[in-house]
Amino acid sequence: MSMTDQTNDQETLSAFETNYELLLFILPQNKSAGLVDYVRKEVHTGVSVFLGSGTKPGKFLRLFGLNEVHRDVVMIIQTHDQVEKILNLARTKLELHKPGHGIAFTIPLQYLAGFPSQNPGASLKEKPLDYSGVQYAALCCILDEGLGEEAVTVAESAGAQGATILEAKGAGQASSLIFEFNIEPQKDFLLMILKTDLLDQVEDALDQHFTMENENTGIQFAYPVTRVVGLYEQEK
Amino acid sequence: MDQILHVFIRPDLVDDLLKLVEDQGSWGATILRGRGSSHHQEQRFLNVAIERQVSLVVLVVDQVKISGLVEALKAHFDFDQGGVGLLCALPAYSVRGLDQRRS
Repeated sequence: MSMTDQTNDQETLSAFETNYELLLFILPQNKSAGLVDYVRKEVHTGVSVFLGSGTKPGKFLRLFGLNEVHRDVVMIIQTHDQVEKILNLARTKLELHKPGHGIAFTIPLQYLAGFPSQNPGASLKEKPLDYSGVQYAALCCILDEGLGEEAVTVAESAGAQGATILEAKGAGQASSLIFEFNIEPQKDFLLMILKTDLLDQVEDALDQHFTMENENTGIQFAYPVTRVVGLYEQEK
Repeated sequence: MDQILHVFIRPDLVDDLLKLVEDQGSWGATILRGRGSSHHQEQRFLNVAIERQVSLVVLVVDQVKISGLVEALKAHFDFDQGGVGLLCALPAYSVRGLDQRRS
């Protein structure tokens, strides 16, 4: 196994509008509380935590249905410098360099409102975005409830190293009103980190398997990832 | 190019937000439920921090619509007021499965 601690933000951040980033951690449940406390006390920023489930590699674990593990998805928005401070702590305290201890990654923000010390210059002005230096992407795939695990298997067969599934619900449309009750279908929200050169083939595999060209079957979108810490690549 | 709107908001405001999104010509939001602490104020009980419920609304928005949508959301929800929420736009590297719905 080899560990990836990729820092390629220098080439890409200058192309984006703001100096703020969304920092995401995917951690075992017993590890998120310490991180949340630290971020509150030392960085004085808000933190959101979402409950998800992940998969452990291993044919036997999968065979006996023991490969599912609970994960906390922790989201923090902060400036580039503060994110670096949090990541430095996380590298040591959370031991992200060890397999199974979690991963962290960052996505740049193009616009931000509601943040106390926000730079008022942040705007939505169009600016060409340069993805040439981006080596990783965070792929999200939203499917009907219950299809998440099948999607993980499809993604893994196309080269993904695993995924985290979060419970979500779709927003009801006006057309889905039945007897004035708005129908909000339950959804599985998959999140996975991929090298950008694998992205197309994983997206193609999910597209074909779930026939996403048909209406209401699912959508997928990917964010550019500027930093990844703790991502292990299993040697084939 | 599409952008991905993330709105971290109080759960009781989600219905209002979704209605506003639809009024602005966008739809297809996904809502995640979690818990969160605000940077504005921390509530404690017996010295234990109380975490509030938070909803995250994720929505892929056409670039031509996002400015209008963001302005409408900012006008309706006072995001600068503590405890309402936070709105951010993220770049999309790729989007699939939406084109047919928009046509």
